[in-house]
Amino acid sequence: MKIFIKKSLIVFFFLMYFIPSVSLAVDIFFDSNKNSYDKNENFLVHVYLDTEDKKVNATEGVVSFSSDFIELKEIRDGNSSVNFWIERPRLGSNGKINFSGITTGGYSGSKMFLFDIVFQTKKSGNTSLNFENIQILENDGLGTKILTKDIPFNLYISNEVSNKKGEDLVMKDSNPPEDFNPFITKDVDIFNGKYFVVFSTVDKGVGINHYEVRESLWGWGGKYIQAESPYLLKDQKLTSKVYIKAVDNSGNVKIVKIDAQRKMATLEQYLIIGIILFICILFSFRKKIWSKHFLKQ
Amino acid sequence: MKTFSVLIFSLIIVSFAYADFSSTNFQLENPVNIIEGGQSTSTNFKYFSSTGQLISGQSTSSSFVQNAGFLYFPTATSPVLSATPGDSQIVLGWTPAIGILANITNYEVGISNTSGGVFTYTSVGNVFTNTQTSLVNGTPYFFKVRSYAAGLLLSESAEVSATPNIVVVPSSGGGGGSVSTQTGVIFSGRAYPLSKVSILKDGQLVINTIAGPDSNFSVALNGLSSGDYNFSVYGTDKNGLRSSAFTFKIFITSGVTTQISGIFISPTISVDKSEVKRGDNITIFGQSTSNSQIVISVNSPQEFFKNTSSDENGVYLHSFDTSVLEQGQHSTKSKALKNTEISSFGDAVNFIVGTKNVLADNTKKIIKCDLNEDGRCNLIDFSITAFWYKRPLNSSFILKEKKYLSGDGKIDLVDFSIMAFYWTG
Repeated sequence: MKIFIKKSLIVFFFLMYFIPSVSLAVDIFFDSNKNSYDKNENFLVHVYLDTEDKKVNATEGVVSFSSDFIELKEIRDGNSSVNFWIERPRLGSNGKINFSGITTGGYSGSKMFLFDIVFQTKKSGNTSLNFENIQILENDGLGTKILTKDIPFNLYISNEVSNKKGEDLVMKDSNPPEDFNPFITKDVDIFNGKYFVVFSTVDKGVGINHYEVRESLWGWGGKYIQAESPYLLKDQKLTSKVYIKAVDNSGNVKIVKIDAQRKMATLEQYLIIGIILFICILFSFRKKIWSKHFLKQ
Repeated sequence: MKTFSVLIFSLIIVSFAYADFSSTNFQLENPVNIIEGGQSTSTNFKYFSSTGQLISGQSTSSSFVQNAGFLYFPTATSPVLSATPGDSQIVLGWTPAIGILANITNYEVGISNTSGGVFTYTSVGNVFTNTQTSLVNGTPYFFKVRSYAAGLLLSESAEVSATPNIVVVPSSGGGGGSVSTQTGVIFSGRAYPLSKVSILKDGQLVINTIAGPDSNFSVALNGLSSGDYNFSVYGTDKNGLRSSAFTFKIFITSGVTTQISGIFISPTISVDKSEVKRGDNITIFGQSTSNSQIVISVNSPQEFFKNTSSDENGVYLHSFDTSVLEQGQHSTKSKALKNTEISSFGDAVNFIVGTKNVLADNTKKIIKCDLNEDGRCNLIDFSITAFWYKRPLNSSFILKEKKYLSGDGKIDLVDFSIMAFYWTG
């Protein structure tokens, strides 16, 4: 009896010692409506944080999976708790999904949504989704690392071939990305002190796909070029209007314009107007010029 | 949630506005450590006491903290309450009340048909959302939320009103008896008299407004989509000092204007000396809501709490005698109380208790994260930092990283976390 009491006390104190440290951990986990699938079936997995009683503001890590069993179809970061991505969740060259981002002002909650992943099953068997190199930092102004517990997602793929085409996973999103405020600036430490534009926005639906930038002297003309922030401007005189287009995964767009930062010099203006006038005159008298030239021959 | 309640074994006086210790028929003079527990009541007071140690201080075990001594007052910040109207219903959401010397265990939701009227409260548990159903469309309702710790009422939100209606998403056209509104939010709360109030949406500055002479502000933000939004609100005092940002997440419903009331911006704080000779006084000052009660906390192995008041301009000042502090690094922070609302503590400011007095230079504040030195921490600083992410830094940027970020000579997640904390938009 004495031994039993002794053992019980040891277990009790052992638990008392460990339970408070467990409370300090932040969980990162996957969530899906089921974990058993047929072959060629599309399925959606959500990635969440449970911050317990901590306020966190920075998260990074890697999601790994076996490409023998499942194939990555899509990543959706719309409506994420992360409002600035350092590395938007994308399939890296290592065959894994790398992500890194911050939530300004911090966030705490039991289901802090990071992003969704759509996979398609390939061959039958047991496999899992795992986290690697997870770092979650506290919103304390110091970037203190928080003890994390990453919970893998185990799934089973049967021999049955799915007849579902995954239509139920298609997300209808007709709303454009959120409005945003880009800035034109320069800094001695990047792009050799040349002017660049910075931009970022979020999408409450399927998530941002990419950005495009167009520089135009008159508002028309100029081509949109796929770009990432910070983007080095071609017109370093800043006489062009700059258009930034945010495109979401459904093709909805939000375009924001920055007016020209400087007025064009009068001489340059006259020169451009002169060239345009010259082209117009040439165009108007093209028949005469052409017939003279033809008749001579 | 595997948290443990803080057990307060010491003398506890249950008092909502806790500065008052006397009434016409009750006075507590020269309190001494009391060993026996018990309860005394009068018409105006309830006085609880329980066992305590003869020596004041804090004892801890793996599962509880005992604050022995006398006069420990559990308090909590006021929840910020939001109300989203729907068809015959109002969805309420609130930010967690942050308990000080207590953990919040329960919330009550109060409903009334008149502003400032009699509220009927219902316990809803330790949750942050509640849906009030079976309401009459077109009738305005008023709500409040109260926080409790083990049965003790600790804080109360400001009142928020909403009118249930049949919601019509603007693009789908209107119908009989329904209301079509813009998708948006109305923010209201307390800042400092005539101060600038800034609102960030998902980290981007979207509104600057000015609070009234009574410190109150109210501002609308429209053109939103349906989804989760991360809003931050901060104030800037008359000296250009920014408060800590109050950040919260809320789900916005399409075609509905959500009311968010009771945002209570925490006070700004400064000290007159960066180093103070032990035994000399240090002046702690700042700005808050006009005519409010200010609680100043001075951090040391034993935390000291001092009360003062702000004037009609919201300015407060307290001269703190440092003879009770050990030599070394200390910090101080403050919070405000107005009527039944309590703000959270603002950012702490550091000072040294040493052997000489050194005046603080409050004009040259280095703003962490402000790499381009424009007085802000925003997307520009983020982009400059992101440029150097996982790249070797040049000699010039190493100096900036040391001054404005973690100072470890590289750009990694820690630097972005510092940035997210000091973010101004």
